[in-house]
Amino acid sequence: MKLTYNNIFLTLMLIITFERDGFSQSVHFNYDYDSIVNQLPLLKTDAEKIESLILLIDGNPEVITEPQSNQISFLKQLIELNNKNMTINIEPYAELDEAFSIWLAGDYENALVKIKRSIDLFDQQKKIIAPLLMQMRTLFNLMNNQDERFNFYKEKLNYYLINGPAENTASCYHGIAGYYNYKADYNLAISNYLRAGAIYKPFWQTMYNNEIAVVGQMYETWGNEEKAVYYLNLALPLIRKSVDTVNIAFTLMPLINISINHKKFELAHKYADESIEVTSRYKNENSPIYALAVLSKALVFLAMKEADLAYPYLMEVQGLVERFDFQFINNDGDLESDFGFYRYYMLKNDRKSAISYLQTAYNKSVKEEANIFQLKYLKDLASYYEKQNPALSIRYINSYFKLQETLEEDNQKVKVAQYEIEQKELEQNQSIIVLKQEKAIQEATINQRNTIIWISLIALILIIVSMIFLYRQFRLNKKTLLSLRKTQRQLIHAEKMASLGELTAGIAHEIQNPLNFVNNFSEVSVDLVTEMNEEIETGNTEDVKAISNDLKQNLEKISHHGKRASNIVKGMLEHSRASDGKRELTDINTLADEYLRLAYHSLKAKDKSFNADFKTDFDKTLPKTSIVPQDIGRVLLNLINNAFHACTERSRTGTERSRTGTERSRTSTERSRTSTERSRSAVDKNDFKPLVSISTSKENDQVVIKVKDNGNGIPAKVLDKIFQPFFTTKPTGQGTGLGLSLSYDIIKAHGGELKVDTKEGEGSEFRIQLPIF
Amino acid sequence: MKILVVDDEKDIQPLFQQRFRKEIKNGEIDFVFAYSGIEALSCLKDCKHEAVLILSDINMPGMSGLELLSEIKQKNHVPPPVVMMITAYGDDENYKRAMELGADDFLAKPIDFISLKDKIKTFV
Repeated sequence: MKLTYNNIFLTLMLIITFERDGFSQSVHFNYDYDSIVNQLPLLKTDAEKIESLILLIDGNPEVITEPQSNQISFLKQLIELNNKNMTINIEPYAELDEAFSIWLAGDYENALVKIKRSIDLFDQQKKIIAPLLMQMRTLFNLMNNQDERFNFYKEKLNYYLINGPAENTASCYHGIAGYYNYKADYNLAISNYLRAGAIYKPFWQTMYNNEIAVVGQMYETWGNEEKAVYYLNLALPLIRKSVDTVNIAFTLMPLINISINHKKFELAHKYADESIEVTSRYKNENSPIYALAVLSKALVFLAMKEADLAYPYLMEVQGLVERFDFQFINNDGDLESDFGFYRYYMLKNDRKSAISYLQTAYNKSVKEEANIFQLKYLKDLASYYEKQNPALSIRYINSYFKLQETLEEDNQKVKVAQYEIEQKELEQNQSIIVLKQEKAIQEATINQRNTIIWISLIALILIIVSMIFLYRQFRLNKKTLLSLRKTQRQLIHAEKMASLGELTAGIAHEIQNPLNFVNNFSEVSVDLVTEMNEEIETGNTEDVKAISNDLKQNLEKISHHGKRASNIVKGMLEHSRASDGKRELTDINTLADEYLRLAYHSLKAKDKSFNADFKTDFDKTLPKTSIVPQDIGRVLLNLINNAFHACTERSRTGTERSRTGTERSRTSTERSRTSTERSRSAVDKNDFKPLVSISTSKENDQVVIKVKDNGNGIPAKVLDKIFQPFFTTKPTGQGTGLGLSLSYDIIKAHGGELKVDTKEGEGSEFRIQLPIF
Repeated sequence: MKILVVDDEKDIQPLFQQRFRKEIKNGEIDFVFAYSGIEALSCLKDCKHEAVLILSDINMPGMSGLELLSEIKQKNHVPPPVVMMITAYGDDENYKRAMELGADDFLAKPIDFISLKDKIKTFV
């Protein structure tokens, strides 16, 4: 059974949730309040209980005035449950609970402070608290502070207009309307009630009906019967459906008055009977509503001049007034029972009894400051005494005019106030529009900012992801690079070894040649010594001398060729050795200058007749470059030596030729020279000056070093062989043929290039290109 | 008997002169030296038919010994001179090339003068 109940409840909850989602404005005050109350003890989980309790506290469909016992009980249950679970923000409910206790204890001022705090907390959650705001109306009435009431609702109205929820503005309009009603400004009161009604309509039907009925009543009081009938008839069928029977009576009463005025007595009787019927359950309670209903019936009969029929009703009212000590003016309406009796006795022509009731009625109206009734009674008093006591009649008339004047002055004040209020409202409306716009702009900015934050976040994530990817790539590349470098080193070494292998024959030749001389000269020298000894025996001194000269010459030859072989071996070792030099950031200019001078001075020391000039052109802005300085130094020394050799050779061969003619031609360079001999000899017979120039520069992330000579140039025939190992154009014995090959390898190992540009008869330019690291 | 020695090594001259000291003294052999292939050809032109034996190095700058050999053998000297190649490159390829071009003998450096003398005697 419990399961079934729970299912029904869950379905109900679903419907509520659906309705909430289905409408832009929540409709949660139109649910079946009582069924939720009944289901409450059957709920199993605390979460379900909490949700139901919140619905019951927030959305009581009744218009509650003072705190009700069930209202307080729900609050206490909610607080207790939440202490166990801590699922919701209980603070506003806790404040409200305290406020109600203080209220019921009669400390309205502090109750108001607490409720205001509770409302502020609810506002932070943008909660719909229209019923609570309605309930506060009662508190202001109890405090009898209408100005505070007005200020409170006005302030809240502005807040909700800007921040929402819009539902809460309805109760604010209602509260403001009540203030204008109190001030007898029916115009403004009606317009505020209508506004409240329009907002209540989609979410709180009861309040909507209420507002329409109130507007009808107000029009009746104001004297606009046509409008009053329209609104009252609109409200009546709606209110008849509700359980609030008191409200039906309130709606019927102005209709009774209007019907009487229009002499529609049948209709008036019908309404009056209904009023009595719906209020009959208050017959024995301290509520003037039943008395009012009965009085309205009496008034209908009096209007019909049926005094006897009116009498029992008047008597019943009189009995209730005496029993419960009802005031003339009260919340539910004005109990004009004394005036009723006055009219009864006038109809009965009992003037004495009549005047005593009229006097009582007038005194009550004066005592309770019921100004409108005062005027009404003064008029009747004046006419009553008109013939009987004209002096008294005139006094009443004077009083009448005096009161009217005072009332008009008050009205004037109200009118001025109204004007000011209208102006204020206009200003406020304008500021509300401005504030709303500002809020919209603010929200747009926040949205924009949020969008930017989101985009940045996504971008950040993308960057991080790509960085991770790049980092992985980088690591992979680093590995690949390392293995590539290793392979490169192995390749360079392998190439060296391969070229060495290829050249074993060449090496053999290079070494065999000096060895040939070493062996044969030493062998022949042994023979020479034997021969010399024979000559010494015979005493042939001339021959001995000749032989000893030969021997000396032979020994020199042996020594020379021995050294030659040794140099070849040294060069070979240098060529094959893997460079253990480390890269350093080096100033290329300094390095080049150093090796230029080294080469020049060592050549000068070797050969006294050496007479060449050199020139430098260094780019001072050249960045330091990461190189192995010893290796690059060896390249430079090699190129510079070659350059000096090339140009001195040209100057030497040029002068030698003019001196000794075609003594011999040995080397391929000289052979090629013969082809250009004629043209050159005309230009530089004796005025040729050997010159080596070195320049450095930076070109597209590369350091370029140029070593230039003005020698004979390299013949096209051998140009593609110059970087091969053991290729040389120098006379046999003067070069190993490994210099340029080694240089080429070193530059390649640096990731650079070694190029040559040459023109026969004009000179050569070697160009080293090194990447800048 | 005239022998033309062709080698770019200048020291070949004193070496031969000392090694064949007795033969030169006795007027048995007359040596002429050339230091390149070109020089050797001009020398052959100058002293026509005198040289009966040419001893040539192979690895020389400019015209190599093999080029010189083919020049000599193509120009149909009468009687054709005996050409012996002397080289540090004792490899098969050089030997084959030399023999194809018509070399009469092939000697490896360092020169074994005793066997050279025997060969000269055989050829002349």
